[in-house]
Amino acid sequence: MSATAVAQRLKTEWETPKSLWGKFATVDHKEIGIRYIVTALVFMCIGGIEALIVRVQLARPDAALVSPEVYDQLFTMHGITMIFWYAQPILSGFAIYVIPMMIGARDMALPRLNAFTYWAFLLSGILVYIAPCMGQAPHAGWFAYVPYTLYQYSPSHGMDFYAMSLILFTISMTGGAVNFILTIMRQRAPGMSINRMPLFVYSTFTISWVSIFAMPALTAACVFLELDRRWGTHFYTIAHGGSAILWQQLFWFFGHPWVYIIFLPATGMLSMIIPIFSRRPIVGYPWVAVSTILTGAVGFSVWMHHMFTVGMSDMSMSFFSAGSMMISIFTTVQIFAWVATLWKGRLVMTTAMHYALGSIAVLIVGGLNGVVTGIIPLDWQAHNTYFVVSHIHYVLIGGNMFPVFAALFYWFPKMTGKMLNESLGKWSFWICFVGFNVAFFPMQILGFIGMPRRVYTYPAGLGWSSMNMLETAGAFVLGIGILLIFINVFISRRRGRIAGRNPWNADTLEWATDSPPEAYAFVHLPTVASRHPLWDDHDEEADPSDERTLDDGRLTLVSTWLDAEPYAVASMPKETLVPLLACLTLFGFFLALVFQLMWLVLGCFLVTLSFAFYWLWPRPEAEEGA
Amino acid sequence: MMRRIALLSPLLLLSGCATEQSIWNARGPGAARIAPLMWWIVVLFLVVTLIMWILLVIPIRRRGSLDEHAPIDIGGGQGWVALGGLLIPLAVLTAFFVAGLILMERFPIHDPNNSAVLKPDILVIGHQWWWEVHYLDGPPDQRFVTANEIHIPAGQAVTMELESEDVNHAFWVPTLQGKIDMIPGHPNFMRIEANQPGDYVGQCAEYCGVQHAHMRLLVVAQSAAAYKDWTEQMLQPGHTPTTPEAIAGEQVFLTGKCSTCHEVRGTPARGHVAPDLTHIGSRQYIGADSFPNNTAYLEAWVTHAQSFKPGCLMPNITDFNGVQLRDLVTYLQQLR
Repeated sequence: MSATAVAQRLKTEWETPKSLWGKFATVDHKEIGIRYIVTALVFMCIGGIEALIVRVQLARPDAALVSPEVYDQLFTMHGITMIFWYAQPILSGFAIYVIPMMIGARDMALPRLNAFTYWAFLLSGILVYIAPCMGQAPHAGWFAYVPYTLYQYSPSHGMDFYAMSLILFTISMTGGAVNFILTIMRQRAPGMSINRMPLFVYSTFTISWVSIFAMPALTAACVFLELDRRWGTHFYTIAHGGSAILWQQLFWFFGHPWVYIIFLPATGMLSMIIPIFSRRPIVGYPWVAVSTILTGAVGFSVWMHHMFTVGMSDMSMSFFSAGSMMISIFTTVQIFAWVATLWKGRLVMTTAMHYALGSIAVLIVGGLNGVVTGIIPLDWQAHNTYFVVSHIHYVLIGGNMFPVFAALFYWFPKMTGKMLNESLGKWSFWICFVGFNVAFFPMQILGFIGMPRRVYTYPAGLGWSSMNMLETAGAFVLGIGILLIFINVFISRRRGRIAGRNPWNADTLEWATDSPPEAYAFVHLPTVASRHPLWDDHDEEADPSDERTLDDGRLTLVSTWLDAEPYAVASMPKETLVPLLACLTLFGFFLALVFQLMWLVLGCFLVTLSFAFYWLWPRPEAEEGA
Repeated sequence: MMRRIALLSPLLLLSGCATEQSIWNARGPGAARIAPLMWWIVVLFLVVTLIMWILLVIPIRRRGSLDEHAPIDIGGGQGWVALGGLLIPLAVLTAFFVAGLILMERFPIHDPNNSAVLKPDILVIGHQWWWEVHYLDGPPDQRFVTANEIHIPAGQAVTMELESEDVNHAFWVPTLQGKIDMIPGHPNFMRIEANQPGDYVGQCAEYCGVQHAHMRLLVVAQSAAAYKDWTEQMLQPGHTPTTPEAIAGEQVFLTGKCSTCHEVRGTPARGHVAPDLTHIGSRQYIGADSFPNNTAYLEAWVTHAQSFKPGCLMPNITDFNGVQLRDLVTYLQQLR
């Protein structure tokens, strides 16, 4: 059969129908990945606007732009929007888009679950944003400490929305993690043994395992909170033998691993981008891979460093301080692997590389001031001040947002077939970089001179005013820089230079596909002979007898998890509305729980359950995937 | 622009050191032991940041092209990772970890195993959004309750027990000692000491609701003699008014809403949900150390507390006429 005939057969098998039904029923990882990215960026814009209002309120002492209640809702919504609905989903979006192609597969292992997790992510975000529309947004900070969040002190529905939307979000996260684990363990191209996996795959694999173990603590914390608030239990109420510290333990047992969940894939992105633009393989691949895994593992023994002022025994605090020190060494290993790659390479200073270098520069500051908070007596002073606000932004902008912008410039040509404008891109980088540092560097000093976080205003005369004004100016500059990126995306999507298959002359498999890729990605599923498939002499798609076209249905290869030896062919499901419908009823379930409409809760529960039965009901081979 | 900011930032840093709520402005042994370690680490980390940024910038000069790449089996660079990534950070972090432990050992912020700590001199109870202060030293008749302004003898370590009546708060006077949380059902202890007599400001450092920003704190350290005088004064019941205005003011206080929430010892006013006002006239601030204690602010506070501190329990009390309000404030001011 000729190559074009095979391609045509694959196209009819894999392509989602271009109809309204197709838009809602699609299970194509490329479509879903882009939806994740776009949705997360929308949440980032909303969170950014909230942050700017906060900054204007703080620009001058004793200001009254917003009322204290509104201020509390704004900083809380900013925090949870960025941390939950932007920072992780954007990484998932890139991973869902890129990883199947990077490992030579045609889709995620569980395409319907993939669609389901996207809808659950979107609807959980909508659920939490119903609250501010009702004027009752969550108002207790992103970590929502009890007792303040109990009914007695927060009777509005804000905290109910917080708890319910986060539970729906954890369902999405857990499903996504399972999907990544299965995809990465079972779908790698023949020859892509575990020591040849791209580092972005390593990092996503690691955080998927971390999610599986960390998310249940958040789910439990939120379930207990809702039970205490509306159902009369006493998990957190002291008068009845509960504990206010239980929430903190549960939340941070989830919360610190979460920091690595939203950080490690971004380091994985840097470990892809920096070598490409240094024109050489990364220095110390095994070091980076092992550091990534160890960061994920040790990430479970540092959570109490958020609680050094709670009043615990010196012994337990020392243990968690040591854990925090140890984990920073795994990050320095990664940073020095990048620096060595730069020194041993020949650089191409694209916009993606600008953002990558900028993110290392920012991350270094964030890592170092994190060490300050890891040393117990120093944390007694730094804790809950603007020093910590500076730290979290240096870490999350250096360790998430800038790498994401680098990844956007790096993978945008693959996704759209068009290049982003480089000179506009470099302008945006410098504006973001300067704006960011002006906004967040002075916060460290503010923390030292005594400004606590989460105050809606402050008196003049404590020396805080000028730096606050400077920070607000910097925040707006950063905002302009980010706006330029969006303008770039909108212009380049239509009028950008044509990218071609591999505009960066990169080494990983996704660059062997068309830009944008066909739904089936590869005509011949590739084989791999080294860590750098497109840089070595091995021809990935050499398949003279058409053994790896698998054009007889929606099929992809299944391989062993260590050595990636193919041992089966998997039949992949077709488009279906069930994930969306199941998510909608699940959304109804949680929304009804917020308002305690118990008949509606029961109805939604039963309908969701029946969708699940329909979804999972075993079918004869011929109808597979219906 | 960048250069100007770069030049300014050390100045900003230094100018901040002398401000009232700065951790660098250490006035007690707790803060004074933390500050030098903090200086060391800040200076060292600024140097490290500078070195790292230089390491990032230098290789930019060596340009390559997208058309070519190094062979995939090229080696080298492992030394960077071993030395810079592993050995140096291991040594530096171990040193700081040990320094932290030594510091913690020498001047613990709290130590439930220390029997001296279990007999606190002062009990501070956090409320939304003010501080209730119990002096526990001595026999029962030497004990008293006040609010928001904590006096301690200078040059002497005082043990505080810290609790909360409602939500989490945190006790923080940066110039004297690090902070510790006030959590209901979980009493914490803190040893605090000021070297010299003086006023030391701080504020609640754990988000506790809409008026977290106005839960400020004042610790007044006094010489031994002055402190003794102060405690004697505090043990007295509320000063009996003598002038006609103050006598009229007391009647306003007792017959109006005030006495439902506030206490003035020695009078029928025995409310317990708001700060004790027995010696309100002697305090420097009102509204949990947020506003100066003078005639104008007192009058404004009584009638418009919700404008100063929106959401606090103190309502706007508008049912007094001008004369009554002036009498009331006169009465409060003579409660010294």
